[in-house]
Amino acid sequence: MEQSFDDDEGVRWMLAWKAGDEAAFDRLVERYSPQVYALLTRFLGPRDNREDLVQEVFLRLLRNRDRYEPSARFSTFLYRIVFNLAVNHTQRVIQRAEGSLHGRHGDEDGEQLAELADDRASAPFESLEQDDVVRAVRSAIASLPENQRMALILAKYEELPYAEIAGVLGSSEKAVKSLIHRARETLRERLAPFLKEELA
Amino acid sequence: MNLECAAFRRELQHSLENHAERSGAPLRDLLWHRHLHGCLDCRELLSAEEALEALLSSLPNPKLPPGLAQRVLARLSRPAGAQAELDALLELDRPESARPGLAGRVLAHLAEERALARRNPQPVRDLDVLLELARPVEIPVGLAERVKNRTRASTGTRGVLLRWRWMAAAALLALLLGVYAYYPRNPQPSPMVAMQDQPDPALLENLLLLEEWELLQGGDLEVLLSTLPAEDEYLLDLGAEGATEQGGQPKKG
Repeated sequence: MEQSFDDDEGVRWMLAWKAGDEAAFDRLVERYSPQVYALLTRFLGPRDNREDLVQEVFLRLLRNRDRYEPSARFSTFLYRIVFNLAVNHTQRVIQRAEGSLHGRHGDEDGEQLAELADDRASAPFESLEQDDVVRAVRSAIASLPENQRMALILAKYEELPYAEIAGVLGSSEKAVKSLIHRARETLRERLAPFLKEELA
Repeated sequence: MNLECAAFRRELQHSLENHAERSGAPLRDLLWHRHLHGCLDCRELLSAEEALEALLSSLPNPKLPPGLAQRVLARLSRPAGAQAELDALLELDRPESARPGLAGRVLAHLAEERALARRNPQPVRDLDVLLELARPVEIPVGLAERVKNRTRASTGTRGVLLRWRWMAAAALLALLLGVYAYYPRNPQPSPMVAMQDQPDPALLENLLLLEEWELLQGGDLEVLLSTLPAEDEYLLDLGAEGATEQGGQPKKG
């Protein structure tokens, strides 16, 4: 039985845009760009070029306009684009950083290295020294594997149900449950000093 | 861990999974109060989860740059006049059989290129972004498996064997032919048969010496020769020589 998404305004706008209503695309950008920006920032860390990535997400939406079929909620469809783009971006940053470690040291590489350090920081104890809880939490989340990180962010900050997260990650609800459980375990370990302070 | 603990942990898990449904009241204040009062493990678990939730919630919401949506739209938008002209041209140019949505796709592609040119003036960045935007390639079914098999075949022992299989086959054939050529087809005769075919050279030498020393005379030599095989030409010749020296005719034994 085909599921209906008539109550989903994103789906309605997307279908209207597909049918030729250009204003529907404006509504989509206005309504969803803040969410896309927030999700990218939480997943990749706060950097200046996040706005470029937001634009990239909507470019991909543009490219998929004619192929779009409402098989899920619009947010699921959009967040899936965000997730794929963010993972690609991370891989590209790592590759560039590795390339620059093997010889090249331009300004851009310096930026990439800084971003890599921000995105994949895995030493909460450095943050402990700085007594910066926010930074430690951010680092601990950034150190999670990509699918665990996205599952946790969607559950905790976007408050998405597990079934929808499964749609974003292309996995099952059970797998999402397991991903989040493991993510929380890792965070409990990495943030242990802060948890003790919190409990005290 | 007893049944109450298990039930409590299920409830806790459910509560963590359903943020939207949570009433806001901490779990310890609900019906689990009595269990938590008596169970240190569950109390600690709940405290740890609540502390982690508090830490995660301490992250500030990302600051949205003002005018984000408008900027994104401005970057993606096309000049209205140019778009109308292009739409009209595409409409005129479009045959009846053209796939629907062609004009939209062309316009989208043009918009992408304009946006790319605006965003990435540097040539290196242009290339990267173009690669990033490259349309997905249709991958043939089973390609990965085939590549894996070929790689395995060309790198492992099996690969080496496959690559040199004709050389190996030729070498094996030559070896078999060699063995066949040198393998003795008739079995070696036994020592007894050899004695019969050809007399022992040492024995003949002794006989000659005896004859020379004239230890064997007339009938004695004949008696001795008669004990040897009659068909042995060599011995018969020898006997004849002995008989001749003594002035007689050779005799067949």
